[in-house]
Amino acid sequence: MQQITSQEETLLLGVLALGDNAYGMTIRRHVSKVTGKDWSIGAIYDPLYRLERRGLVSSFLADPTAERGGRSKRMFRVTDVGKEALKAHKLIRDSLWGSVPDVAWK
Amino acid sequence: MLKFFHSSRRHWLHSPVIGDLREEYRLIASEKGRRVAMKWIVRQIVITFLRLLSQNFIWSLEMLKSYIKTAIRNFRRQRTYTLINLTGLIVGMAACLLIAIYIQDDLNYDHFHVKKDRIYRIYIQTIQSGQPWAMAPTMLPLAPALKEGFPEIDKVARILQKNHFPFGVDGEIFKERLYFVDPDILNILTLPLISGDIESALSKPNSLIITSNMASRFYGDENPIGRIIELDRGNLYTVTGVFGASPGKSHLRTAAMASIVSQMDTPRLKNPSWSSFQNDYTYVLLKSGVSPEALQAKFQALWKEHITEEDLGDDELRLQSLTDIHFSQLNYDNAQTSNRNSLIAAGVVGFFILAIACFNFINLTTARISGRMKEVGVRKVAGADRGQLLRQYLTESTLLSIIAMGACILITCTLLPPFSRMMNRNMSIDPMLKPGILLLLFGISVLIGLLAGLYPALRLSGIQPMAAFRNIRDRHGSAFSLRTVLVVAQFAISIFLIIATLTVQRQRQFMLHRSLGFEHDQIIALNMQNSPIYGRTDAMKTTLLSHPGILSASLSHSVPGSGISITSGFHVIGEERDEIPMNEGLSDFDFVETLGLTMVAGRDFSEDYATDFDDALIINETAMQHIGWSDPLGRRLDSGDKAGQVIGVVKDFHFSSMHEKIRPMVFSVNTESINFITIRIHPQQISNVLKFLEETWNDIAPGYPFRPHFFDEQFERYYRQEARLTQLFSLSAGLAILISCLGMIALAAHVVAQRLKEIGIRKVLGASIYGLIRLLTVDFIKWVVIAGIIASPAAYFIMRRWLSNYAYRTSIPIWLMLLSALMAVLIACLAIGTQTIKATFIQPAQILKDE
Repeated sequence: MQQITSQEETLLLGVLALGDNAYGMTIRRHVSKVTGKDWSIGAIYDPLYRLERRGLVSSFLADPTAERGGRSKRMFRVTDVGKEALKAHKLIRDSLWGSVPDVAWK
Repeated sequence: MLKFFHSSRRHWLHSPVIGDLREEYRLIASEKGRRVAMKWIVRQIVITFLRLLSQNFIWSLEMLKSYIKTAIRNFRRQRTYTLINLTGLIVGMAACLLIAIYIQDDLNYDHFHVKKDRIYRIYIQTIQSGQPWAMAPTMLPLAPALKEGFPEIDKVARILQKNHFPFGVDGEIFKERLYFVDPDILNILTLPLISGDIESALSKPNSLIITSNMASRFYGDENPIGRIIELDRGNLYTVTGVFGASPGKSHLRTAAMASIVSQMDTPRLKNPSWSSFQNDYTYVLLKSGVSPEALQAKFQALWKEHITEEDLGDDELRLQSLTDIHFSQLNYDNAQTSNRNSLIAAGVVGFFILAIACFNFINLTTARISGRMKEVGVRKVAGADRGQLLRQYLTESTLLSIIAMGACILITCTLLPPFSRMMNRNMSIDPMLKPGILLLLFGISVLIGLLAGLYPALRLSGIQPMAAFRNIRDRHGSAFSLRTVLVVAQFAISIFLIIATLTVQRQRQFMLHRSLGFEHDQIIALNMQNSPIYGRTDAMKTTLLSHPGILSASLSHSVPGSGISITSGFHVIGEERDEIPMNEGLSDFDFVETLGLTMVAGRDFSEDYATDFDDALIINETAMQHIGWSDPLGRRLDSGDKAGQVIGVVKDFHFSSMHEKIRPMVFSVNTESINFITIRIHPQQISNVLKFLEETWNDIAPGYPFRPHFFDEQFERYYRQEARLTQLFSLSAGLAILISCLGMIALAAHVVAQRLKEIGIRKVLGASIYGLIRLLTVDFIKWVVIAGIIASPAAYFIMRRWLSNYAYRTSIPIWLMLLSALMAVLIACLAIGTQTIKATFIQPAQILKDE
């Protein structure tokens, strides 16, 4: 099972949420909107490529469009390994959250 | 800008990213307008760029480690070559750094004064015999008049300089320099007062502040404040302050300062004159924002109030910035001055040596190219691109240069004290050991490494792998390759420096040995200024003449080489023309005889003629030519103070250094202002007489140091700068030759290694040792000869210009240049000889056994 950081978790969830429309710009906008802070392009692509090398996401080039100046989109998709990693990550989080007694929050 | 990102081949910066940027730019533009979109895209690009940079940096750090590792392996494998390369660089850098310290030391004079930008010294600019002429001393009443007349001036202070002033401390007498100063001097200059109060230390009469050096010399560890020092026979001064060594160098140098009010009773200060001066200097502190030029323009009006139009002539009062004083060469200046030109010369020499060292570096590295071709080939085949190879070789050369800089700093630290002594300076390494400077040095070493490594790195990285493996030899031995040019340049510079050294040395010898025009080796003078003998000189003369070894003696106001002179303007009676400035020689009747001067016309002064006491003049040949007389005897001259009839003409002799032309002189009999007694000694009795002189001196002036004025010593002092220049040049020439030869040895070794097989075959075919040596040497000798041909005319013209600064100068003969070139050839022969001779003794069988 692969460990992921919370930055990677955010990106993976973002890619999952966007479904078939997950590429650089949409991921950046989505993640920025949800987290409320401006993610730079590097902050998107760098970890995504890292995740790709580790096999948690896959990518392919879509057809170029006119509005992008004739450049293609690199579409991202979360692989099964990625999904497994996310679930495991959530499990750990949940059990951590669950182990905190209610009084601790008061 | 987008194109930039496109062209970059970083892993995530490719087409989709640009596409993203464009799409989002459009989106934002349609939502919030173009300007917001533009702002956004610029921000994104900057952020991305920074990220790229930081990534790049980490990446190159990793590569740098690898580069350094291979570089060190390479150094180890090629020890001799690395050592020679390093030695050359270290020597070159150290010489350059020492010279840089010297220059920096000179440029920093008076920069420690806090108000230096507002401090000026007043000097007088005038025209003498058609030439601009400036002098540093100014009249005493000027300071109060300036203070009163110009609100722009914040503070004014005078310095009255007294050299060799007697200080009586507890019965002992020390002769030191003393300044009488206005109290405001402490508010103008920055003097670190250790004890005492700036405002009051010099305001009362008979108060004195001394340097901490003097304090410990006079009183040891005791507190000097309140102690009494007897100055100038009988005047008691109280020590009111002690000042420490100044934080930097200054053109002013004194042992003590006394309040000027203590001198108020002397006639000079009681009725200060607008027309005469001694060693008195005026310093002003301007209010902030005052333009010195504007102020200077107003001075003339003030001066005209106090001085007649006729006396004023072309004289002008000018302001001289404090930090310029060290580089000015004003007349009658007692400041520590230095010549800007010799500083420039030193800088050029330093640069030359560094250049030679860099050339060496380039040459040696280039020479190794063929030895490293396989390495380059393997690297290229393994996928290194040209940029990477370039970076690797640049790292190698930079590393070498940084190591050299480290060693150079250590060497400089050890060599600075002796170098300091040689240049007669008190230089310290401290200003060099600041982080900023060290960083700068580091930067310079990196730059040198990059510059010197660039050419070899370009060559190396450009090698085709196929050529490398097929063992195609480096074909760059052609006549005009860079390597040849650099070797020629190295030797040209070396030969230039040798010629320069020999010329400066020759000029110095010329000045030292040129006849002074009087018999300087048989006479001695005693300076009686500020001693108890002053005023009793006649008695002294009579006592001295009683000794059989003393042939004659003369009392005079000045003697050659003493630097003391009076200049007056003389009118030629009976001719309508401007007055002619001439130096006055005041003496008793025996001056001409004692100095051994030759009369070319007329007669010497004689007590037999009553008119000789106050109506007779002797002029020198220069004066005669200046006035334009063919028969001067009987003609009359009048300066206002002094008038008389010319009774004789004396052959020209040198009164001061040979930098200057002999000036027109007028001698007259005057026994009132006597400073010197000159004694002519029987050649066999010199040591006897010296002993007698010392005893007599100690009898009459006990406690006053006996310092006879030997004329050759005095004149030698004029030529100290030339002596230092000779040392500097000879040292640099030596270093230049050394570095050049190091390079040549390595080159020769390389050539021999390349041609080893050829030598073997030639030997088998019956070549003689001599023939082989000639074969291997002739190229190098050819280069040195070409260097000589280039350097000689250049050196000739530059050194002739340098010589033109001297009124009496030597020539630069052809043989001197031939000798210099020959020296370079010989040294080069010796250097490469070891390599070539070794090569010619090889056994052909050993080399050719593999073929």
